[in-house]
Amino acid sequence: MYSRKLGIAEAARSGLTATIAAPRLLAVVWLAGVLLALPIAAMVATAVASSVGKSAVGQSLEQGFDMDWHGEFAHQARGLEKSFTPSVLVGGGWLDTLDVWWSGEIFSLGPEIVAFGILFAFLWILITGGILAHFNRPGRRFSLGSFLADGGRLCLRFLRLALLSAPLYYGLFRLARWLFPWIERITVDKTVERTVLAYNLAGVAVIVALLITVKMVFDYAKIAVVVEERRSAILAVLRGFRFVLRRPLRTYGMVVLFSVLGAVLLLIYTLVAPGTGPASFAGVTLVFLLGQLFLLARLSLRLGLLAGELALFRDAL
Amino acid sequence: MVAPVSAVEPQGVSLNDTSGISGALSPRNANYSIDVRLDPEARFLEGRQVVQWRNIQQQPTAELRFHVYWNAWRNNESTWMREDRFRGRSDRGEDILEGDWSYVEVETIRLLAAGERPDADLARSLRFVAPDDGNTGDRSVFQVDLPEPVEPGESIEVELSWVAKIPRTFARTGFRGDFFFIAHWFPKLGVFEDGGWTAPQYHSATEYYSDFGVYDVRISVPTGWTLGATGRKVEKTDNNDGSTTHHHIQEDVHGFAWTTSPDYIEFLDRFEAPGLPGVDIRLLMQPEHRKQKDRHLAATRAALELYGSWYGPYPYGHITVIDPAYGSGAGGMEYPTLFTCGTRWINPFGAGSPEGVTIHEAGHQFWYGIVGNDEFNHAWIDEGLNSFSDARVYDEKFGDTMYRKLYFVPPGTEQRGFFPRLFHGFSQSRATYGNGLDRYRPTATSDAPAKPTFRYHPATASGISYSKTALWLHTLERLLGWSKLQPAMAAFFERHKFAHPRPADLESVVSEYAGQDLGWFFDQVVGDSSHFDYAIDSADSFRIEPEGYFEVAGKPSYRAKPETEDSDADEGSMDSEYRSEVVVRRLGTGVFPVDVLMVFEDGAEIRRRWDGADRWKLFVEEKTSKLVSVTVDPERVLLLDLDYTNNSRVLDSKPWKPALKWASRWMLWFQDLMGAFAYYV
Ligand SMILES: [Zn+2]
Repeated sequence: MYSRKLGIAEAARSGLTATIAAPRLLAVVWLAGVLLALPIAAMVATAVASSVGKSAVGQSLEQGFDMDWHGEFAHQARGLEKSFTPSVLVGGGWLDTLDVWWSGEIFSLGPEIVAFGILFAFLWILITGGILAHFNRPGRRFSLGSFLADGGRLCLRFLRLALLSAPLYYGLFRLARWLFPWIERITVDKTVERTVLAYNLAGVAVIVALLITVKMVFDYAKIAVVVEERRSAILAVLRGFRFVLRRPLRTYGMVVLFSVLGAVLLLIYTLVAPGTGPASFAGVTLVFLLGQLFLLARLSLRLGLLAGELALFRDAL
Repeated sequence: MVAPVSAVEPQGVSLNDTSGISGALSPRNANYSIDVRLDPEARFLEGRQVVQWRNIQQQPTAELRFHVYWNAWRNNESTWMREDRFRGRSDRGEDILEGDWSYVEVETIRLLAAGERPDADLARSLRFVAPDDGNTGDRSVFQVDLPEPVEPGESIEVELSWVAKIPRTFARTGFRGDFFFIAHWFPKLGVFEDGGWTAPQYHSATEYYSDFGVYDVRISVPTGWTLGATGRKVEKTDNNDGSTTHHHIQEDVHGFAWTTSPDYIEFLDRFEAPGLPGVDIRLLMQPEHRKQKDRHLAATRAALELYGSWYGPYPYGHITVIDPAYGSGAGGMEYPTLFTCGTRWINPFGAGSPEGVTIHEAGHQFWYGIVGNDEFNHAWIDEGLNSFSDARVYDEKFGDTMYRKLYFVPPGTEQRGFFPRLFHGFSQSRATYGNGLDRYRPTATSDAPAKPTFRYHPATASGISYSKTALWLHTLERLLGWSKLQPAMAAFFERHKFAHPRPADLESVVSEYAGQDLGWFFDQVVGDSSHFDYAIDSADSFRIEPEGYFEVAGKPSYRAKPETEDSDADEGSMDSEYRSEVVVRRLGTGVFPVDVLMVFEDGAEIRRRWDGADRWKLFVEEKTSKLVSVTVDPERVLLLDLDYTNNSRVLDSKPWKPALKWASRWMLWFQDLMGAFAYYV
């Protein structure tokens, strides 16, 4: 009568297995990101090329980097160009991304970046439907047609979910903008940096825990929409919330597990990602491909987590 | 009491002559004897002081002007606060709480009887003045009238008692918890010169100006707390009431600062270098920085050694180095024989901190401490000479810096990130980053340095005072050579130590040592807000192919255009001549002589000098080799050039290669970032 519940490791393994077994799904999702980023990167390339012009600076930029040139470039940078800073040019700039992700400062990166971000988020809403429907389908045979059809079929429902989650994220980032100034006030007479840091890290822990919770609730809400063919977004959110609430160890545990895997991946990438070289076309290509490989691996973890969550959800049915 | 100084100098003797005082290095005409007690709970100071002032000018005066700097943070109507808001910095936003403001209340002020001069109460004549902007809400300067004028050479003694509420740090002075950094804290005389008092109000973008003298200060703080102060400790007395009085004396300085905290840990070291007097170094550190002790000491020694050998020896024999408490805002500031640095708990070597700030503030002992120019009006002299020098020391001792970013900035706060990351390969040189070219660039046309500094736009003042000056000094170094600039700066130091030099003094000594009138240079970089930008406008190199009628045996003879099919084969052959044409433009308003360097395919280089005066100039060369590249100002002598990218032209360049390389890396970040946006849906 009672069957053993699916554990974190098993759910994670099944999620990752399902992802690896769907290379075409991965490829399509990855490619969607690349295709959106390519024309935007081309704009940045044009800006760099026109700033360098026929100057001898081009050669020093080719061999390494040239901070003197960058000072001049940054002084005139407009819009997207302002994001072209040394810190995002090595190791995929993941630390920069992480820093703005948890704090919500990502929405202060400038209107161009935010506009592209929102565009990509819409694309992701479309893609998520295809991904979840694929993982939910018996046999899991991937076809682009059904991927797009599922995405289209679910996108309005997922959009409604996104609209429901938006005020929560907004509230969360407002909370952060209240919490940290409050921490600043209560530590105003602390003279030891480590003490002040500890207070702030506690604040980060609160914000990140809430961020993960909201994310998870809405992930399970989407899963509920797919698995249970739900139409009401609000009921789906409640379903997601109840699901997380009743299985906190397994739901949070899986997110933690995938975060650890992501961190290991980052560590490896940071170790192998090159600095300011090399100059040759082959070298430049290799750096780019290495970066794409890292992004693909990250994407696999992301899809793996979704599939794992879906496995957990189905197991509980 | 004030150290005994001959009260009245006989007429006819040079008033700057200090020979009457044995061992005096300075005029010692403003001497302070102060007793001060800190109440750490209430965050109050209670002080009593006697100021002995000698009129070393040729004119009498019947009034005195005192700075009371801490009144700048009495309320938001002071000139300092108005300017701070105007420049958009507004230190702590709107969140200044009741306990954060400060003030100084002078309770009594008396002229002490001396000789024929009777004792007199000056309090009734005390009034606040606002000579710079007429702001009646400003209480940073007060004036008192004397019953009789002080004649040239005559001395007076004025006794004051006052209480001061300590601010939560503004302008690097104040408290945080039980950490106190106390600077510009007591009523302090302005400078009587040219028949009047130079005692501007306190401004948010400028600093200080005072005469030299002897400071004899007794400071009472809680027993067991560490005290760091200007001067040398002569006595420490336990008052058996929970407080201890520290007695410090320092001669030949123009200010006195102190700090106290129960947390400091103390390190003692000694600086020794051939040909320079030894210096005892006392380093007071935050316990969490103890591992950075040697870095602070090394940087302090580097400054004492190189400034000492370049400009002149540090004469005081002791120096106190303060590592202030986290978040205290007291870091990075100079006071006589004492300065504050500033580091972080995590601070890997390589990005310039804390070495850079330590060298800079130690260096101020020379430019500010010993050569005491008026920082209200000519801040660029000490800040600029010092920025130039600290970058030079850093470069000599530590080399280039690398790009650093501080991560984890708590959102919505004024705090800086806690976790630094250094970016190897993104190196920053002394000439550009060390001198602050990126800080100068947006301020280039904002104000002429010759204008009184406190009248600069406060938002762009530092870019001009610090960075522009450092850049033009380094430009002079490259133009004249260090072998000429260094002796010039040493002579400036020697002639004006323990005195108040003005801009013209620097110009004349540099011109003298350069062996040429540098008026044309100073007029542009100090007298004006000229900006500089030389650029290659066009560069072309082509085979000379005569076509048309040419004289042959005295008669026009037609010559057709040569066949072009085997042009490749001809390339580089001895008989083909190339004409190379280069147009160099002056895009800026400033004029500076520049070299134009042309490099040809056969490796030959041709260098032409241009006075840089006209708006553009055409350079034509005919050679058997094609032009490969051309650079205007190839050695980058003119460090004020705002755009150096346009200074060079490579004829066969491929700008898409670096663009592809770096934009493809940018794209990796962008994709990652887009993934972060997707996280929220
Ligand atoms: Zn300075």
